[in-house]
Amino acid sequence: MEFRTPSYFALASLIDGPLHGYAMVRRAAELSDGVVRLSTGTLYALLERAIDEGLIVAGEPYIEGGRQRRDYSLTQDGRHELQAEAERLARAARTVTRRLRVTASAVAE
Amino acid sequence: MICERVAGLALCAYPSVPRAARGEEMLGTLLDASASSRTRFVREIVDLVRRGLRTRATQTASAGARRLVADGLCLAATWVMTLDLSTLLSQRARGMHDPLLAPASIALLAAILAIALIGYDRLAGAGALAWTASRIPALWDHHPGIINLIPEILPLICFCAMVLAARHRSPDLRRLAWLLVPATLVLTLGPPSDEQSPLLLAYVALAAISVAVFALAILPTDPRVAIAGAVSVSNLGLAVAAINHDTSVPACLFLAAAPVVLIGAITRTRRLRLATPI
Repeated sequence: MEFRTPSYFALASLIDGPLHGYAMVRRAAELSDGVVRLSTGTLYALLERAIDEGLIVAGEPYIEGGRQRRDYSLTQDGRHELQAEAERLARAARTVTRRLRVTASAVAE
Repeated sequence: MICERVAGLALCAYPSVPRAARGEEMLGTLLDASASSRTRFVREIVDLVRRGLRTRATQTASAGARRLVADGLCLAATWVMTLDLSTLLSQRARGMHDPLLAPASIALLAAILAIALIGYDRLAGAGALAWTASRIPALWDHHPGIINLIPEILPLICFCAMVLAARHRSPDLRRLAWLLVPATLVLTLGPPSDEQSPLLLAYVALAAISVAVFALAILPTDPRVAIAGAVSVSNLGLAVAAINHDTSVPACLFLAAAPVVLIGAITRTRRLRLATPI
């Protein structure tokens, strides 16, 4: 399964345990060094898709600080897909880095 | 408080089911995420509306392009019947006499329109096809030549759609209230030109503009009303082009309405149904 960058970091925000929507927004921003700033519409659209695909499960709603919340957690399938995507990205990065190193001297000449 | 109201309004872009399921929760997340910045709040609202409309569009597209086009054609059939009934009654009200204006024929069309409005598409479509066939000899007498029957082609396509791809909706007698539309049109256009009420004319013009604006406004999320409108407009263009031999730019634009809207609706529906990465 292929993930867009915001979805990748949104799912990654749940690695350490269940989080509600706003906590996911903050955690995704932390993990991506501020690159991914999930908006509410984007977050809930991808949550809907991820739930349909069985990557995430939603908990029961509750009230916290006057706001309605719901915690989301990764399923086993979600962890596997995330792991596979992380490995794919790492492989792609290694390949490109290796080629850049190999050709660096030739370009310098 | 104002931010909460604005966000609540923006949530209306979503269909009712997801709004009821997650609306409150989304509202809380949005207000927390944008608490520190007005710019962020505006960005959040714009994105929420965009995503909501896309959710609506995807939900509508899930029916498939074929179903949406069939729904649009069935609706167009009802509109064509409404306009035909209004025209025939107006001509009779002006004292015109013609076999095409026979009371039995007009009564039959009114009954078929009522059946269509209640929700029996298949029966109404079959009735409309029979009604059209019964008029062909008189139409031929008026304007001999196959080219003069061209204006009947689009209505026939719409009536066939009613028979072959009827909409699945439960019968509802309250929809008979739509018969007020032909009644209003007859009241407005029935009297001779110098006796027509300017107020009613303005009301009908405003209603027509409102329908056009509504169809264009919901076109990105639901093309069915636009398809019905475009077919009706093209039908008018076809009649003008065939009977008056008018090939001016406005007549061509009218003719092009249905193909343009249909191609656009089918393309967009297919694109929305394509699987995309999460």
